Amino acid sequence: MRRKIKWIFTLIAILLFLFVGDKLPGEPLSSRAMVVGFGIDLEGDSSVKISAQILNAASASETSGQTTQVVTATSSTISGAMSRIGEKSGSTVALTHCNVVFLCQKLAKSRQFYSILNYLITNDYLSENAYLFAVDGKAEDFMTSATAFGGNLSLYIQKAVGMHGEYVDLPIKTLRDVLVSYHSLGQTNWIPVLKKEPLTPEQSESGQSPSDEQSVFTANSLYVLKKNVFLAEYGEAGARALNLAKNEVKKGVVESVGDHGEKIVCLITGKKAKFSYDLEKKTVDLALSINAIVKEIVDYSSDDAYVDRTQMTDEEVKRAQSQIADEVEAFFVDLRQKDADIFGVLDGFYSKYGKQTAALTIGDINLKVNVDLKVSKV
Amino acid sequence: MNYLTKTQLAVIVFFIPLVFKMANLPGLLYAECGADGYVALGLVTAVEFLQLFLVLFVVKMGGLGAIFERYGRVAYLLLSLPLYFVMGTKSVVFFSEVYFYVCDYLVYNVPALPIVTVSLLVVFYLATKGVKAVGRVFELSVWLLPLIVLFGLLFGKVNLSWQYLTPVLEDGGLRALAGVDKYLLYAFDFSPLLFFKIEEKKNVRVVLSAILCVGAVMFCYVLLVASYGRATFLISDAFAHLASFNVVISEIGSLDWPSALLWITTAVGNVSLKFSAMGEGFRYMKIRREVGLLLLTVLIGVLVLFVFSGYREILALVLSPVRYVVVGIEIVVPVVLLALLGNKNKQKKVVYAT
Repeated sequence: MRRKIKWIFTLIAILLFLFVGDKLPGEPLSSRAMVVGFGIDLEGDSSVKISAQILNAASASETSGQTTQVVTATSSTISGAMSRIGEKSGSTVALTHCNVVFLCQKLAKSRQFYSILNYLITNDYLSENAYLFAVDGKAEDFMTSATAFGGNLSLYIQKAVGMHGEYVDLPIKTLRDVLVSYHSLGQTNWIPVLKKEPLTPEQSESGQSPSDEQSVFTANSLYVLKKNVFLAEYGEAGARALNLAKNEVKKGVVESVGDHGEKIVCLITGKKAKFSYDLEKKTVDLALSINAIVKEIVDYSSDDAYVDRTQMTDEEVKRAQSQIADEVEAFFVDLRQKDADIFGVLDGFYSKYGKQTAALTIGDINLKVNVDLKVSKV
Repeated sequence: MNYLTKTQLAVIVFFIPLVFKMANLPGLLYAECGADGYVALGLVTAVEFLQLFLVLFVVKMGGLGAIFERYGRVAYLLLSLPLYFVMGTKSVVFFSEVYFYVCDYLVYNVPALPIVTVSLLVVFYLATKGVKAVGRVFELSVWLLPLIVLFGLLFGKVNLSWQYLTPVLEDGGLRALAGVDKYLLYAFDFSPLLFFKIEEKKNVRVVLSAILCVGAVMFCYVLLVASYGRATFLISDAFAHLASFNVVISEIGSLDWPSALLWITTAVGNVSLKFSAMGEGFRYMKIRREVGLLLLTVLIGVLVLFVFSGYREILALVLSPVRYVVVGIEIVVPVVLLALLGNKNKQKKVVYAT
């Protein structure tokens, strides 16, 4: 009987694959449009233009880079636009290898920010670890730009993040981080902003003709949002203040002023940030422990000035500590005035004190930053 | 002889309480009781093992087969039919989670019919092969665990915020109890073992496995909450999200495949174990096992495809008062079996003494 069952089962399996097999996914890799970067532009009030940077697409409307094409489509929904991209490229659009998403400035600053992004966040085919960037302009323009050092924007950005993602002046945000921040008590989110710096052909190294404008990109500023409302844009100082308070960012550069006005540059080699909460005083203490090495001391005070030391004095270390603390506190205070909880301290209070914090608002809270900077010689 | 070895039992004991607590339950539980969920889940899993050891004790005394031999068919039917109701209900709920996972997460826009058909055929086949084959499937799939851990350590990207894990039991555990009450159907899942014979050896590995399971359930939930914070309630297919890259790449070479394979295999194995138990029972009901299992497969398929065809319908079933009946049966039947078998053994001893 067992043998019969085995044969019956095998027969059923063969019949199923013959007659129902076409309902199972069986597309070859070549029929998939592998998206490596995804851009969203807000068009008018109720439609989006999607730009998909596709590896080896069969056909494409526009080109950029050597191995990818940017295909665009407009629709009222992201999935609708993706279907059109699929039609245009003659393939099934696959987001499984997409690790970077670009939002146009208009969308990042609009109230549709989260509702449009929600599709990507809840889409299981796009990695939650995909990086999110707002671009200073239109996503399509950025994605079709030629990068000065080869490759396409999506891969260029991933490479840059891979190399410099742990540096304090480069804010990095993933789709999952957006989701977590959006649902936090303070509902405060931030997105790094990508800016384009065109290079003249003389500046570029590959000998392009003047018509082939190439660009480099910087991502040292950020937009801060509360729920769906854009609050403010911050430059490099904001990015640094934000990252100094984050434990996962461990490298970067700190600049300070010497006893005689010298410029001192230190390289951060390790960093720890610890928040502690006091509900009675409504105070958050941020203890920042930073290890650094002196990289450079430059004296611009006179033509013949030079610096022959590679160590900082105690006063200079204190000054650097105070400067870091001031920078972080100023960033917090500025956003507190906008009712934004940039460091997620409301969740920290709730974690420690529970329901006692029900009436607590970000406006009630003070931040004290204590910096312990340990500087060693090169 | 078709029986479970102690090694197979230890692996099954590890996976049975874990596998469906790591799918949709964490998100649902977080929505109900927030961070208290992982404490609640750990406690429930620990209590579940009381049921396991009761079941194992009854199995040692002969299980349901001994009831048939000593009390006859009517007693057997009276005790096994409620268990059929329990296993049938859980099969519908758990099997739905399997096909939701495949259709929503694993592959692109595939209709339910082929997935349900193919998966149920695997369940049917394993059930006809018997519990030893089901145990072997579990035994083989356990090797995927170190692979997942290794991939996670090498390539995983996590950003954990431990602050989301506290405060817990702030209101004395009322929220946690409410969560446990609501999703009670996911607990107490060891009654299928009553239908089988298990190798007689020491239970050290089983006890160790039970402890590991409680730890694993809590660990996975803690990781999930620390990763997703207050957004945990949005997360379905929790185990898949915890896996290395948090995305299934449907092309060859994805590092997420081990986790997908492990979950699918153990989930199908869990349902197969229930089918296999029901198949064992058919023998005593004068129903041919294969015929009974085929009818059962068709019935579950029809229920899943046409009656409880969507997430909302399944959730309604999980939240209905049926959950109290199911858990009640899971606890009461082994106790009754223990009493009956204990009583019969005592009577036998008296007879031998005189």
